[in-house]
Amino acid sequence: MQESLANKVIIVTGAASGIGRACAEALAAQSSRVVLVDVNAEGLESLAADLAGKAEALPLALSVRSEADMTAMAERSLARFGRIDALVGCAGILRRGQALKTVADTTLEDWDAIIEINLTGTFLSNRAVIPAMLAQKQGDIINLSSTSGRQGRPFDGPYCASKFGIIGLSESLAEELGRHGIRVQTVLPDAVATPLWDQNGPAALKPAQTIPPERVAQLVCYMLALPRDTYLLNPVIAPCKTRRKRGGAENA
Amino acid sequence: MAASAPASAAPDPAPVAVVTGGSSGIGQAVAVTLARRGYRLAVVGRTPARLEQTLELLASASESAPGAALAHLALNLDVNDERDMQSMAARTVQRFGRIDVLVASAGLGKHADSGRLMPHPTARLPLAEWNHVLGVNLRGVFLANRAVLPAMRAQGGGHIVNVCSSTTPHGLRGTPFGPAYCASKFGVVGFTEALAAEVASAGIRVQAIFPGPVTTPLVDQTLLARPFGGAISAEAFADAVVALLETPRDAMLIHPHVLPFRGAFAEAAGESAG
Repeated sequence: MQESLANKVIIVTGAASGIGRACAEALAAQSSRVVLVDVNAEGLESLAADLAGKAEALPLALSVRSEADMTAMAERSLARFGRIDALVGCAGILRRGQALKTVADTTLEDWDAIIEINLTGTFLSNRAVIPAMLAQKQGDIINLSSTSGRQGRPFDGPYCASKFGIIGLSESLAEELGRHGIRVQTVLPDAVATPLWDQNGPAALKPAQTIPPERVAQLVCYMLALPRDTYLLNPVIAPCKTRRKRGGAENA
Repeated sequence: MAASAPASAAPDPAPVAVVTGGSSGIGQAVAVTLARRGYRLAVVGRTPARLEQTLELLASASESAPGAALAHLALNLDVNDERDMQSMAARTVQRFGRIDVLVASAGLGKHADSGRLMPHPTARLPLAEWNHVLGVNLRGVFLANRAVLPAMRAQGGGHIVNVCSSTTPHGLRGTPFGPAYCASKFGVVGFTEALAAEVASAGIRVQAIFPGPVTTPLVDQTLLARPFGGAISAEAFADAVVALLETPRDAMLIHPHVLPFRGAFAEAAGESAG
């Protein structure tokens, strides 16, 4: 039933680390042609080196905050590969610096940075690929929200607002674009072991209570490969708290 | 996810799955898909002829599965009967020695099987219909889930998937003229969340999955697919169940909704109109 992702041209934003990097690696493993977008040029180079010989990769050191950069992202993808089959929007930050801040203590600079990267960045990256997908009459967009996009949490007002916003934007886009064969889906990860999660610093949950980013990447690949008449509505992927094995022995 | 993996990726030799409502519709599709992936099946249904037909489908599905052809088990039992569900677990364990998976798929559509096409307004909904829908959809889920827990605990783990429903294109919402159905399915969500938290420490993963309309005779008759613009195939839904089952044990999908992508149907409608 699942469609092949081989040779599909797939843009991943936030590709240099965390869930974005895991998505890029998983797609490369399925022989997709990947466009790797991140502001971290060094991270992109290291990823591109890792993928060399496994898949065709186009690293682009661009910012999702910049309208011109996102236009360039679409143009350079088309110039290289001639089409854009999918966009996976992973670029995002949790907060600036590690300090937890109440909304009362949040500066406008904090607010603008988080909203611009997470929410405006999703808008700009999505908008940039739509013309190519309309021309193809087919496309897939998967945006990364969060369980914080359904339930506000203390000390992360801007992040929660941005992730709620991504769900609203994505549902709106899905309604607009569905009739044109463009499928827009959103993934809501819970605690995932990524540099973003590490921004929680000492407050972060222990690794046993997070899942590796590869789990989210696996779900993203599954959603991209769904038959064209099917989609998943806002799936949440979360750690499954299973029993701790004592001394490695199974209870009978 | 796992559904895109080769069939040889089925875990452990011949895991055992119970599928209620397994002799028709999406339950049958799930059972056949699992058989193809090497599972041993116990299918629960209430119509002997359909159970027989399902056994034949399972036998031929198993031929393409890794390992030897397997004998599956058909159980003519009612999910809304406490003794029947105890018997379901006992006979499955007796036959196969374990229960790795329960897919609770038995359910009624919006109307009791009275042949009535138009739904009752709540003000005139007969108590018998309320009880019938709640009995199969909610009480039946409780009884089937409860019955398999002892075997799963004894094995040190298991996986339960309760088939819920998306009643609108935006997920599970209360819909007019569907009070019993909506109440039963919201109830399944609450039950599933409660049980999941309760038995996670025993290595038992409990999840609900929410299909939109699936191409089955029931959906075709009730016009349920119309507000969605179309229906997903039973095979796509069965693949999603497999994806849940074969997600590595450290992760889980919470309340995934598997829905028809309207673009596909808008295009099809445009083509036939044009």
